[in-house]
Amino acid sequence: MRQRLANALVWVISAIVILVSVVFALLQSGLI
Amino acid sequence: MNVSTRRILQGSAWILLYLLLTLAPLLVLFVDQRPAGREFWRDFSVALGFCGLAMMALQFALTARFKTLKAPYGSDIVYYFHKRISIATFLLILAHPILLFVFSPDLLRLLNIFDPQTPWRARFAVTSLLALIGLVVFSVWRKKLKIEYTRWRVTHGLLATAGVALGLAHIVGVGYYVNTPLKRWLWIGYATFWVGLLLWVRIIKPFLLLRRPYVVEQVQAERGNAWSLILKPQGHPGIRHFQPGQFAWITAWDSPFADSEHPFSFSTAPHPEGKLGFTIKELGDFTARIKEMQPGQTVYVDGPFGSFSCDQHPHAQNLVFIAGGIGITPMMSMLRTLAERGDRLPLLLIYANRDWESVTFREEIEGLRTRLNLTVLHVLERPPENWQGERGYVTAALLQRVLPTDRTPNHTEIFLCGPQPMMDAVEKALVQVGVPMGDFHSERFDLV
Repeated sequence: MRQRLANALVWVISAIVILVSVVFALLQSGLI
Repeated sequence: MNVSTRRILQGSAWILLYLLLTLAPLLVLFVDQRPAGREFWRDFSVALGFCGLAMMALQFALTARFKTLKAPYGSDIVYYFHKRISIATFLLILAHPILLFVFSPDLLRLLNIFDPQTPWRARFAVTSLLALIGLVVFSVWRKKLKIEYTRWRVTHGLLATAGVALGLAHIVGVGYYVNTPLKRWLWIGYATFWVGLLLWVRIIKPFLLLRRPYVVEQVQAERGNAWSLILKPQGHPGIRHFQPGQFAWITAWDSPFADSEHPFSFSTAPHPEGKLGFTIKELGDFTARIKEMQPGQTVYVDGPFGSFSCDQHPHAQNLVFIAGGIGITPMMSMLRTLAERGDRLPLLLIYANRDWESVTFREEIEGLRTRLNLTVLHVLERPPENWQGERGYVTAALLQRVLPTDRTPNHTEIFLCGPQPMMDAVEKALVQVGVPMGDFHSERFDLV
């Protein structure tokens, strides 16, 4: 059960990293 | 504030800090001056590389055995998280060059690190990536590649160190997004933190262990192809206080600097003279040698670690222990400790084994029944003829029948330790019979 929570946390952290990276790249490239 | 609430708050705080440190390289770019932007995919790939490297450096903190970090979750799950997040981190880092090559194919020439035209920053990047590829391949397929555990640990440490050091050198070499004092300080901070962790884990901690040796006092054969080891502190007070059910890392036949430790649960109660007992089943290269240990032999013990203990749940009205095979060791530590304390709490031990003859501590558990308010239920896969007890496996039906009926949270605390398939099945069964998730606690030792 704790393993499922740990897996979920890995997905959430990875998704946040990708999302923030997209926002950063959009800002840098002047798209937003 | 009760123990569970405190653990949830502590656990959440560590996760937030982890996320903050992961995103810091980008967050600092949002608040500080930024150089001119480039095309979207290039900056996206750079952002993934920054965060990936920060996450890779943080892996060292996850495995550095900080007790406060591991307390809210349990050591086993921190290692499990380390294994999983490392794969995600590797993929994020790998995406960095792949995106660059897809959208700027001319950069592919930088892969040739032997070309004199290739700048050092690219050489650092390529070798860092090769180190990380090796790290993942050797870790994910260690057993298939038949890499011995100790050799793997040393290689793992070296490759991880090379991967992060070369990655940092690559960032400094490129220098594009680290050109203001704030950003430079951020990366100096990461590097300092990371080098500090390395010094602690590889130099300071082994040195401290070297000064606190133990000697083998006794090696005793147990049922189930297991051996009990009693260790005595040599020239120091030893570990006199630990929570029964916790574990320690043992180094034998080597110096603490050799990085050849193995984790084992204590099987005895805390001892006033700091003596420690472990019971170890022959399962691999190291464990097969336990029986060769001689009284007087020096070993090193790093511990205690873990939060798998009845002492973490002082308000429980019932304690249930579900053990499979050698998973009995942390339970024995708890049972022996509770017996020494004269505890009269209702206890239930569900103990699954293949056959009656291999039931480790069988006779002692019978003896503990007289000293504790303990009910013992043996579950045998291959029972002898005329066996009147439980047969097969620990199933939801069995648990429904024997567990205390009160499912109020924190009323009954259940401890589970055994082979991985059994633990997966029993965890599911516990949920099926309505045990609150916070009331069962597992200890998994398949760390690598």
